Amino acid sequence: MLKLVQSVNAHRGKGWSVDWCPHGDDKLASSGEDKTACIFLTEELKKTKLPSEPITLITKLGEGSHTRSIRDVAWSPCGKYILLASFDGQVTLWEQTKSKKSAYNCVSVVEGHESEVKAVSWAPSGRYFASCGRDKNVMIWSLLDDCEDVECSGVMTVHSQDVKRVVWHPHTDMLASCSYDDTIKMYINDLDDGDWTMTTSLSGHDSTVWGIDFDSSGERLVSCSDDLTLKIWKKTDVVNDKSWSCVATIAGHHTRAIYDVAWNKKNGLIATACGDDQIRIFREVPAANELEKNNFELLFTLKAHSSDVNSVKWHPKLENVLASTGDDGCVKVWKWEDII
Amino acid sequence: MPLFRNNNNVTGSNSVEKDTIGKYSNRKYFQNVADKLSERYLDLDSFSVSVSVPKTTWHQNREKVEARTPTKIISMPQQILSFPLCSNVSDFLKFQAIPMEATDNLNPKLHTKSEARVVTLSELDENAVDVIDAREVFDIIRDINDPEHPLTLEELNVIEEDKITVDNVKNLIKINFTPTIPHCSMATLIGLSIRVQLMRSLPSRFKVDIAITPGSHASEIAINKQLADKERVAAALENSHLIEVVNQCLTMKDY
Repeated sequence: MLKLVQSVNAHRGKGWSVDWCPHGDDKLASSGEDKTACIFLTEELKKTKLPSEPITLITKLGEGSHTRSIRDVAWSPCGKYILLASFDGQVTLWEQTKSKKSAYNCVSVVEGHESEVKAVSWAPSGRYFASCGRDKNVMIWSLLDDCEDVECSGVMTVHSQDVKRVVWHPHTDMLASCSYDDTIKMYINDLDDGDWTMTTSLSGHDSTVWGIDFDSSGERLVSCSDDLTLKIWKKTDVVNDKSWSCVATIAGHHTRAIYDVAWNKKNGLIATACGDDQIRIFREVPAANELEKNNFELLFTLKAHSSDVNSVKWHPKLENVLASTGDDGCVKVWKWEDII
Repeated sequence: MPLFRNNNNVTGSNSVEKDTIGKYSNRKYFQNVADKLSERYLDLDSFSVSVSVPKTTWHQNREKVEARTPTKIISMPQQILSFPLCSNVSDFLKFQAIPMEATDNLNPKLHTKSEARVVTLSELDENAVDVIDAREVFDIIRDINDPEHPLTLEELNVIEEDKITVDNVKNLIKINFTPTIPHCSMATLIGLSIRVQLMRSLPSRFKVDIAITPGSHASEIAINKQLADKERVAAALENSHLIEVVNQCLTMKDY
């Protein structure tokens, strides 16, 4: 059962993306079509008895610095930096000011993409971040000396169409990207050369792959697509990361394109954001033996927004808290309560 | 030696503006010329062609359009057939210089406009719920101008009422549009204009699927995928140049 905790009218126009701050203060960031990113303070969600309005808006970033919609936000693992990716081709890095915790300064503007940047993601190790865009490039950037300088570590142009999302593996510095060309590709840093190379390409979807997410162990990947299905991929070769294969396809539940998927690292629930205004929660059916693994069942579905849902993210620490945003410009925070 | 001789001494105005060559935006000019040309023949110096020019379709009361039937053609370059007569050679030569890419389809087939909607008694009732049906969606998009010709999408039969389905319960609208020729380069722009017009006119609860009528375009799968990708559409609409072109298609022209 998904209960609405709070709904905030964060953006004029569409809300494109939400991200929870991984460590430090409990903050939530959202980005939208109105060229701003909103940062909310969500400390009060930790309380067992929730106040009526636990989420408060701290600040809005990006006003005046981006000329087009901000498509994606990503917090750094330490929580002090935030990246914004925009349709104007730039990625901006903002740092929390030491004097005033609620203010942020733009530390650098990362230019490199030739057209719209669709997603940005920070590696859990904090060493790299990746961005991808309509120019079919996946660019990996490394940060030097306390995040003062940003250097391009690699550019991969392996997709044949625009790249929709980049997601890092939860434990290693491995990157996965998904694209309009219906494939998912993975990359690692070949430590001998220092070059990034593509290790594997997963195909199976019939249409644009919009989102991907790893499970808590990093052994499995879920992907959601415009072809109305979710696919679960598993690493078949345990030794190296080179072979992944599709072990399950979840079809028949979604009626329109699935824009985002999030795999809860704590309890294994999968949440999906769909173009039919619903958020769906899936759970893996407990398997008796090896053959019956990777079966997923739909637990719950709810009309979450008055228009398409664009992004869902589980809270990294609080087990059952979910944030979502959609075309109606609202950012909503939900609490999942097990039915049984 | 003049390249053509016009028996009818159609003077018509010489006033085709230079910047409208290939764009056909001066409708009053055409109205005059077409009036004078109806049922007349065009005699060219070394060719003998009889072409029946249809009665003008740009009248206020739309009359039925007669099909264009060339009776005898001897290797006539298409440009000459479709451009209006000029009263001097230099203007004619300017027409000749237009590259084929400026307009893909120089001779679009024209269709009549639908009748005005019949107002029923239930529609006049203030308290009755007015459901959005295919006719209403058709009325919203019928007057979108084609980017190349001075005609609406309805007149070119790009949009037909029976290719629109509206489901009020599921809030779903499906539209199939038919580009005039299978290699129409404007198909994506037409699809985008339809999407923008509906976005601006319909309540936001509707999900709109716009696709090319199956079998009517060479790259329909690729174009349909682009039109269905809302992120690409949203990013494209932030491009100021593109939105200007789309707005031009969507504005009503004054006659």
